[in-house]
Amino acid sequence: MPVYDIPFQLDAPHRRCVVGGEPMLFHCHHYNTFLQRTIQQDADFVDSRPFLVGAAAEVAFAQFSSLFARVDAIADRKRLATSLYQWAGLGTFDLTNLDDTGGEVRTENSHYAMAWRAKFGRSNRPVCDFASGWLAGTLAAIYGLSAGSFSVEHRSCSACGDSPTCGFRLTREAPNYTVFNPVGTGALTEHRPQAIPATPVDYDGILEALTGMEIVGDTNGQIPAFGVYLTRHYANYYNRISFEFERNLHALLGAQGIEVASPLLIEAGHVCAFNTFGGIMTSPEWDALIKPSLKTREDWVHGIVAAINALGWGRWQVTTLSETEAEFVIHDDYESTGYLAMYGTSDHPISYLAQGAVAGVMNLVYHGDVASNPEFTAEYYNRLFKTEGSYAANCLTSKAQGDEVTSFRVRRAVAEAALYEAV
Amino acid sequence: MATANRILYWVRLKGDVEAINRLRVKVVRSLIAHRITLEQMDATRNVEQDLIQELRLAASQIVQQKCPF
Repeated sequence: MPVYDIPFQLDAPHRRCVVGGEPMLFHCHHYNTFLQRTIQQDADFVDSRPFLVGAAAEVAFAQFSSLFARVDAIADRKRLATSLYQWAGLGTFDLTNLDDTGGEVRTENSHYAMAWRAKFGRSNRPVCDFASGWLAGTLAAIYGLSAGSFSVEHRSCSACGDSPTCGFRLTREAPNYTVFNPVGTGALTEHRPQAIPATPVDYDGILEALTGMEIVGDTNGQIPAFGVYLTRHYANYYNRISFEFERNLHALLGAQGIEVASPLLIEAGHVCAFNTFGGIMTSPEWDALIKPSLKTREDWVHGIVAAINALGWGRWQVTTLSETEAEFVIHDDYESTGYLAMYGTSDHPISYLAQGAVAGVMNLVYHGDVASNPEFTAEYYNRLFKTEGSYAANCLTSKAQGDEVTSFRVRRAVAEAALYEAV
Repeated sequence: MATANRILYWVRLKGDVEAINRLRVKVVRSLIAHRITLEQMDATRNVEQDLIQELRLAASQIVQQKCPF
């Protein structure tokens, strides 16, 4: 396993990890690729490349401009950048052939290409928009240039099956993507944790144990853990691409644009919960650290909520809990924090990942009996989210709308009307 | 039964849990142009052929099988 020296700061009071002023958090390859497919391929009438690439350039440029204030030599800057990329599970790059005019770079290890093949098989179009933007933003920061100093072309992608590597060409010219203003950590609040039901789950102990674990990229820049490929990704990348997707649809279609975007963004949260939470709750780490203290199914919910607090998503609490319903309260959920910093107060709830994830927790524990150690198959996923008795979440308060916290009530969904009759 | 309704039923039956929502995104511009929603495509509702064609194509892409309707 490589040895890293990444200047990351654990902001435990806010349940965040920050590197170079950019909040970074854990998400799995299932979430990453599902979100990308929704934006890039399902809504293919939206011109998404400019913001998919631009969002990555935004976070990389901001992060490395901050980190390089203490690193002078170009070679050292390149080493730090590639080390951080690999540490985060995003893949590997060798930047030695790039200079202040640009250049070409290839890699056999790109997270999005690898993840796409693993989840969906071959893609009919290149998928490494994140890597494209990351390269453009990072190279500008390495040479002390302004944001948007390079255009980037994704020349080949191993997800398409016609090349074993992903190739990129950077050119010193006007950017061929959107240049966004970075927002960093955004405005965080003073958390006032709420009372929770009695449980033997040791929230603080679990947080300390999980945040102390060495969950970092291997020699290929991959983090295989909990049955998924994890990434310690940029919160503001997820925020930017999700909200730009929604805003583009709104610009094209009005309110109906948001109506078609939101179910898929919430579904991405289901995908995340199913795979990452499910993987955690059936892992040896869970068995060793958390499971011994669990007596009831309510304890299972508390156990996974305690673990979620180590993901960098803000402070999660479950404040009322039974098989019938539950309420989840989140201080400084990363979606709201990012939205407020990027766009100001929202007129509707936008914490889509969280909304899908809290329903996923309840479905795993009560509807899917994750304690029985099931196989995480497509059939199990459909049973969890598609059958009668599945839980769904309703947003009660939203930090993005000006509330102090974001909160959700989760209940078993009312059986869907037979909208589509049998053939 | 109307063809659009058959296609939607097939997508729900054969597709993943998110399949109908993915279908909705793919065809939303045409739904707006035709002033109709997926929910209005019940067993008695006939819709224009160009929309049927688009539904069939999108359904096949999402389910990754040729739509039989």
